[in-house]
Amino acid sequence: MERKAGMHRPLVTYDLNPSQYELHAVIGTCCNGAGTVHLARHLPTQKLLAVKKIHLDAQMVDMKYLEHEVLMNRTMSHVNIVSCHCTFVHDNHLWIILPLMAFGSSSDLLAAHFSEGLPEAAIAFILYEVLKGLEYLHSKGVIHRSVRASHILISAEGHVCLSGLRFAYSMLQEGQRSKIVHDFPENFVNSLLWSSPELLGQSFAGYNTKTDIYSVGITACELGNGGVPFADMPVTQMLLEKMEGCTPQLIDMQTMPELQQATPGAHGEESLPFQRTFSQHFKNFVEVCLSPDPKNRPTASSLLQHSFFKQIRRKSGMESLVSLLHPVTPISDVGSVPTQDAEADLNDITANLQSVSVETHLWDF
Amino acid sequence: MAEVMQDEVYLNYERPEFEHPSLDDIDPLDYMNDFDDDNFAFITKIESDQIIYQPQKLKRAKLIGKYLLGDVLGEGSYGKVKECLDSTNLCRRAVKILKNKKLKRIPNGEANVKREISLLKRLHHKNVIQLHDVLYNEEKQKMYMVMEYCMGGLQEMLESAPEKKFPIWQSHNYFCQLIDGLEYLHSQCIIHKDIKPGNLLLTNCQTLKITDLGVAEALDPFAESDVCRTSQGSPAFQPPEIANGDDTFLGFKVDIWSSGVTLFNLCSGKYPFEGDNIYKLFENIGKGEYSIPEEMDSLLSDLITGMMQYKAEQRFTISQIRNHDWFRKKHPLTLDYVHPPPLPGSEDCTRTMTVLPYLDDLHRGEEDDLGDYDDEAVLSESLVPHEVHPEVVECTPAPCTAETASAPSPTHSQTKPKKKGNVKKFQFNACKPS
Repeated sequence: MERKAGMHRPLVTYDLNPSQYELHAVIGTCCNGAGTVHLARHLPTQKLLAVKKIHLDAQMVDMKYLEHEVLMNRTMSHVNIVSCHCTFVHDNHLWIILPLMAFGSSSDLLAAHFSEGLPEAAIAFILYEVLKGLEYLHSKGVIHRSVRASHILISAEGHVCLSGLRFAYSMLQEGQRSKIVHDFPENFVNSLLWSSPELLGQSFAGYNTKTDIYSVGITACELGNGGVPFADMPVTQMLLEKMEGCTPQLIDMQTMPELQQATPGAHGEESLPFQRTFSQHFKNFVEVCLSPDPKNRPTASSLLQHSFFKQIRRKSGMESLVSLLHPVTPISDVGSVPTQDAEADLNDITANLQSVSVETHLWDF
Repeated sequence: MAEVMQDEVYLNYERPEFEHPSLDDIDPLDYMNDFDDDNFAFITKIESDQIIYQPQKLKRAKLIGKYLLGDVLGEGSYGKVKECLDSTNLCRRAVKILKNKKLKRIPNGEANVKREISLLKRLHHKNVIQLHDVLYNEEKQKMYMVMEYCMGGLQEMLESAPEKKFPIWQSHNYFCQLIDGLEYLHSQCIIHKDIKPGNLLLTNCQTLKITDLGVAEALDPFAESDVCRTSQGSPAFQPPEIANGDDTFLGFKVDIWSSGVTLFNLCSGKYPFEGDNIYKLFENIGKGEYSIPEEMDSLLSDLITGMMQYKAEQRFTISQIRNHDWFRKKHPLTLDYVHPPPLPGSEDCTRTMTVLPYLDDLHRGEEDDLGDYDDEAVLSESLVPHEVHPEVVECTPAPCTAETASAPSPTHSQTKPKKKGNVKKFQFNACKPS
């Protein structure tokens, strides 16, 4: 599937012309509300795309980060990193043409259906792909810095991509690759919960690519538990807990046996997912990712060998991800609808979208 | 109840020492207070009726606006500088706390601060300190200047270095950044007038920041030349025209001279001019005779000579400095890198956040403390039990000079005689213990 996509891509040319793209429903916002993400059709090929339209004169647009994100998107080339087809400026708006990731982000999946967490097999597949993307970024000397569920996008075929390169930091500065980094982005508020203690600490010790591994650990908890650890407290307390070495963990019958007794009467069916048990491999994976000392965290490459990923079926991984995500369906299931029936098409898509991405504002890629 | 359970999820991970049965009935929150870090050892839960004596070091949370205060980083000329944390985006910051009472005692104190704030607000450069926020507390007559966090200054690093100097490549790195920042300031028509290692700070990633624009002068954008009339900078770094008490002098060239003295100091650990008191010092500077230490190579001595020309008109311009071979040369790295020293009373070379114990109090402190959160005065007063006269405190490091320095200086009517900041600067930078 990946190879196929790679073969097809060069054959399609994306013109730097807005008339080539027919915009449909808004499927998300980005850049603090200055931009919208549209479902769009590429007229020459009739293929569905995502178009990010950012109002460049809006106050909340931080050009520095926007430029950086586009630059990163265009320089990084890997199957597990979101790539943009093209970008152009039209009428004060920056248009970024992206492939449609029809399932939305993994955080949309949690919001739409899996409020108690995704099935372990799906998480294993998603994180495996994310780690492949990270392995690539790290090999290029790039630290992603905001790995989280809302930055993991899934296509209709079950292809997983890492997005959100706005805060990606290149360790190559002035021709030299630094070993540690001290940069702390000021408008990083939305990603603080996933950040590693060494990044948050802002000390002379600095941080390196291992900070992403910590974020993978938090994301694993997010996908497994259905909610981000530390989300229930002020960020300052989260900082304190992380700096003291407090480590979140997966919630299941073993880690929280009291849930089993406490829940049936209290919440009824809602708490049924807590009757689950995650594998020891998964728990160990989370534990090593969240080691307080970055030296004890494995690299992305060595994590790919972790026993947690043995459950992935090599050949049919993507198909099984799609089936695991049932009953959530991807946007592109709308299929090719005749253009004269555009109104119905639009309604159909919008209706479908509502089932997919409830928390559309998180679709910020 | 739900909250406690949530906490347990995150707390009861595999920590065998917590699985002892006798600990079962202890509130899980208490575990957090018992972490092995020494900083937390004094925060333990004691029943209120058992409290006979409050440990002095208790760190009470203080919020100034959205900023949570941490430990003292240093004493500026007008007040304390504390570390703080922006509680919304978790950025580390430094806050300069200015007391109106103190400011009024300093000649030009208020005017200098006002000017510094107005200057800093419009300056944006990698090598000039960034002012993020200014807060006022009318009731307590205090002002807070929230600035970029820096891990240390060149002065304290020099003092901690074995020969009170940096290896050449390290000096070169700082000097290049100083020139970058200075060029920006001059391009904005600002004369710093107090360039010296004590006013050069470093961030975690070794970016140099020019700070303390308290005595800086902004030229009229339409002024025909950079002629200035006043100077309040540190004596040892002043050029001959100021030492001789000239009525007017060229502003930009003052900064060039001071940067030359700074470079001299960074590379050698010495000062070109010394003197037992301010008169002797100014006398020596006025003569303009200094010798370059032998260990400096010819390129470096040529650059310093160019920057420290007796006649201001003959001194190098910034572009001449930039084109100088020593500036452009790539200096070989050596292993004798001078590291910023830990804060006094600490051994932490990486300078981890000092706000953590205060955060602990903020989130886990006892209910009774809530009333104190906004009360910055309580902390500062309790740490300084008896109000010592500020001048006396400042003078203690080198009492021998206190008298001479605070005496009026009749020879230079331009130089402010009894400025507290100057007294301190003079002692640290100009007077070598003999």
